[in-house]
Amino acid sequence: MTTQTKAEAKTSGMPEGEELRRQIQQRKNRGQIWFSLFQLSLIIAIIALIILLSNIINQTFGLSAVENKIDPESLVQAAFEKTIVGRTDTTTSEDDATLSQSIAANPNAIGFLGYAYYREKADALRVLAVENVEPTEETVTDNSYPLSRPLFVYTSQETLKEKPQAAEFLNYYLDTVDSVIGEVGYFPVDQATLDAARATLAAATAAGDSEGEDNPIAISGSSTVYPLTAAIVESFQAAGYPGAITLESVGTKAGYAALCADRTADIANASRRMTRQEAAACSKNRRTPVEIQVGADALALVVSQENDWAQDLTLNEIQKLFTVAQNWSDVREGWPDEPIERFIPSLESGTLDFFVEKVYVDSYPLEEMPAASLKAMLLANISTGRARALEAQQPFDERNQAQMLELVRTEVVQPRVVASWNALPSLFNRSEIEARTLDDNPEAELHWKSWLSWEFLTSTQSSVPEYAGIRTAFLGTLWVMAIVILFSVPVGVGAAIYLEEYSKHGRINDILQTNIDNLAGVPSIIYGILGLTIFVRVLEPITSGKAFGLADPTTANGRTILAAGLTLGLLVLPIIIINAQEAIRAVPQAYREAGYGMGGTRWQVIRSHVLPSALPGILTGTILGISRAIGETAPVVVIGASTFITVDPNGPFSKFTVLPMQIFQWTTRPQPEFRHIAAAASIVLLILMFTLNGTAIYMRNRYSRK
Amino acid sequence: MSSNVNAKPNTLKAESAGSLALPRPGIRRPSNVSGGGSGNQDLSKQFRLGEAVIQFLLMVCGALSVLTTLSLIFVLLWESSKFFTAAVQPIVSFREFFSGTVWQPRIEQFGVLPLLNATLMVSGIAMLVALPLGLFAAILLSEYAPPRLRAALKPILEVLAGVPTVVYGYFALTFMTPSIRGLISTLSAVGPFAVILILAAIAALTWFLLTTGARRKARETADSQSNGGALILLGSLTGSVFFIGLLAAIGSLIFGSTVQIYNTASAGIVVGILVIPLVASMAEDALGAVPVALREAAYGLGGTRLETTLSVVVPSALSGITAAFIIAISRAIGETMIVAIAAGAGPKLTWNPFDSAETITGHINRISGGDISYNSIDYQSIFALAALLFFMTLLLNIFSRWIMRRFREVY
Repeated sequence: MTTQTKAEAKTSGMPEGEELRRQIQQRKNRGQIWFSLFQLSLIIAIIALIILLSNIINQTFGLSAVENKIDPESLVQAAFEKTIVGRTDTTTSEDDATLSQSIAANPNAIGFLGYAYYREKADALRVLAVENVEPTEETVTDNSYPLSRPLFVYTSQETLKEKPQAAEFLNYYLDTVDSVIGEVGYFPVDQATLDAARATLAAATAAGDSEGEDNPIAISGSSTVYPLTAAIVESFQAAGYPGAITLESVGTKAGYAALCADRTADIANASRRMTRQEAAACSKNRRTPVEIQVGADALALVVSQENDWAQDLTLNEIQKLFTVAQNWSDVREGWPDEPIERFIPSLESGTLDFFVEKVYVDSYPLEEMPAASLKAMLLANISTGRARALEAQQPFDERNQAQMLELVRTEVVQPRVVASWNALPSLFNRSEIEARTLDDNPEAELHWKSWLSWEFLTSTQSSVPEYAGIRTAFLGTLWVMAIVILFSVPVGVGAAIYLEEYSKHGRINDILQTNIDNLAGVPSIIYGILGLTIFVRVLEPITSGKAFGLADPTTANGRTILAAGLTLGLLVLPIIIINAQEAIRAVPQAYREAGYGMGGTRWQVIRSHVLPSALPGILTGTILGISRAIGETAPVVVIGASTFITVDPNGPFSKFTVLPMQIFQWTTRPQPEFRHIAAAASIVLLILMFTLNGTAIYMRNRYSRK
Repeated sequence: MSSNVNAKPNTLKAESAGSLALPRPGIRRPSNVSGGGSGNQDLSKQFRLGEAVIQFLLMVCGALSVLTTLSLIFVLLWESSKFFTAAVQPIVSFREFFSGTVWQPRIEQFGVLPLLNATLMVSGIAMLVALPLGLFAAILLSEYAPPRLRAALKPILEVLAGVPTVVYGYFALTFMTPSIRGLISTLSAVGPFAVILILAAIAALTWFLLTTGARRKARETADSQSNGGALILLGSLTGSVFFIGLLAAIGSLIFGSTVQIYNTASAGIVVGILVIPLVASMAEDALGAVPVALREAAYGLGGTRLETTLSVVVPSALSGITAAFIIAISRAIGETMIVAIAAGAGPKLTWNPFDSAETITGHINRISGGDISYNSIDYQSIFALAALLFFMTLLLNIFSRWIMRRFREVY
């Protein structure tokens, strides 16, 4: 276009007036458009950099769905139950009457019972307030008493439609429960709740097509609700119901399973609400759960009437009371120095479970359990062979709490990431992810997970991405870096000195210079091939350490840290030489002349005049070279870094892996979780590189300003 | 200075002269030395063991780089000669190697064309990305950006250049490939007619934004700011959207709408991004070396900044820019990790950039990553490939340096 304007100007002369203005305008416009094109190019490059970095960050953080093999809460529950029952001054009994009698007879005694049993013996026992709340009908039904729980029966909309007799039974249940519940020993719910339940039932039953009218009503579930339901079943049949009703006591969880997963029960008794996951499992099996609260249960913490000091307890005091405390004075200052005697229901009853769950599990996460309890949990849940193997690695008693916790996590709890998401969808699409998780992995829990963590930095390679870390690779990188520095810095700087100070203008210099420039352009994978042949094969006795009798018995081939360090050293040698040459060339001639003027020899002048003032430039080049060496992958792959290694490298003759190699390995794995840890390792590598490069750039700018 | 030297004791004078035994530029040998220290007095002739040893050691350091090159060439030729001669079965002839279209060591087929084709395709795509972007960025940095902006932008380019290639490979696999797949599948879902309409609309919008923007920008004076610059930038953004869309549409028309997880397009684009900083910084050096006087002459003739840049500065720096391009091609050909991660495994002779294909470097990387025995044909084949790669890049590098020397304008 520009030539065209020139041509125009030549032939038709300078345009004038309006024509000239228009032409200038056009040229300016063209200039503006091109300018924006130039701007855009740089912007695209910068955007690429930003996307590159944010993509890695996006992959490093995000939600992940974790499924435990064994629930940590159940471990804690079992551990506390064992501790409580295991105390020699604790008496357990299956018979509540025995318990209440023993407590009543002993002023130093304490125990807990279902509230119903306390009421039977209310004249001999005294109930204690917990956290300043007395168990009364009011505090229990509104759940403000800490040791209370609601009681439910569950059914499903589909059942109500298919079996009108179940609906009939439940209606009867709601009508009569308040009159029966007192006798069974639980607390009634208020009328409003019952009315609401009736309405739900009516709505669900409305359009029924009775298919299974002759089948028996199957009821399953909680042992706590069992007596209440049993009483109502009895009176329902007494009132003239002709059909059969089966009633089982299998526990709340099994009851839910029978209702939803197996569809063997029509009604499930429950002493706790259905969890999100259980509800999801129900919906998945085309059963829409219907929840009906029929009452409430409470534990009574009781002492003898003769006990005149204890009036109320905090949860913390209760926790101490049943585990570590010996005397009453240990629980609260001012109470008598008398030994505590405990009378509690035995392990078989649900009451102890309820007590431990309410008092301990909620306030003691697995992380805070002492090492001894963790050891007990571990031994109770793994095979003796595995226990022996672990003990052989390091005796349990020598491991600290954190190590034991880690063992329990990996050996017993065994959390597995079953699905994971990147940061962006996790932030903006959370509800959909939650729905998906409930659908696909109802047992799993969603956590916000950072794949880059302290554990990631300090653990070794693993075939399970959650446990894999970069410790080995990072140490390998450091070792290789050390070899590179030891090899290529002296050699590179020496070569640069020779080129600049000794053979400045000669044929040799020309050859060397051309050679170095060409070496700088050789693809890095070719250096890998060179290293494979020279260092791994030809020089194997040296690189494997055999020549020095230092060979690592596990490797004893040439694929060692030394071979990798030398290969990468050769690779970065041209970079270091070229940078050092520039730095030496930049030293003013006057410095040298001053040195010679003082009578220095050539080497003296170089050592005391040239090198000190060229040092920042040399260092800059060295840092750039080393950062290049750290990031190189291809040569390391070719000379044969280990692909899976869990042993820390312990010297130049060890087998090894390096960070970029590890990233490459993980990137090529098909499981998506490996992508996350590859990203996390990339962040570590980038931080390392940016620190090195940043230092180099900073030094160069500072130096060049002088 | 010479009077200073004269004032010092004779021995010192002589020693300083002794260290100057070899002629060096910039240091004049004091003329009175030979006269002052005659015969035995001339310490410069004295042999110093320490100095000699040091000089020898330094020379060894320098020679090591030559040794590296020599052993590189020797190793590559020696091992690949085994591949081409009868040392092991089967014999692979040069002709077979360079003309065969199947590379399958299992069935003793060693035609390098599939690998070479993939290498050239990746490099070609990379150059399509890197050459315009790198050159334009260099022009912006050298001709338009004020010094402070340049000082801020150059480190960013250097950071981009410092990112390890394995991270670029990860970027290609986890970002670029899904993006391309998304784009192509969207295009094919929308249908060709709608695509043409949309592209036409974007093109019209680009045209409108650019022309009105330029007009407003030109009218802009010191006291009345208009939004011309912003409009132009927006216009060039929509322009690049149009360009990307057009490329994708043509690509999906020619090669179909299935983009494999591993494909050369994604690897090539990312290799292109990788070499942008290289092109930009070398081209910027070349542009910066053009004397200011040339620019001033162009301005003096009434040229706009663009006209000065395109018709004076860029032609003057053409040798340096060409050298930068050639170095960039050589770098792209030798790039390994990006193609190893994103371009796929398995040699395939295909022209479809949405298909997977293995490059020379990718193949060497994959074969040597496993535990191969030193006497297998696989092992020797990677040397033949490496030799090919080495000479390709070496020739390009030498060519680039030759251009630089031959056509450099000396001002």
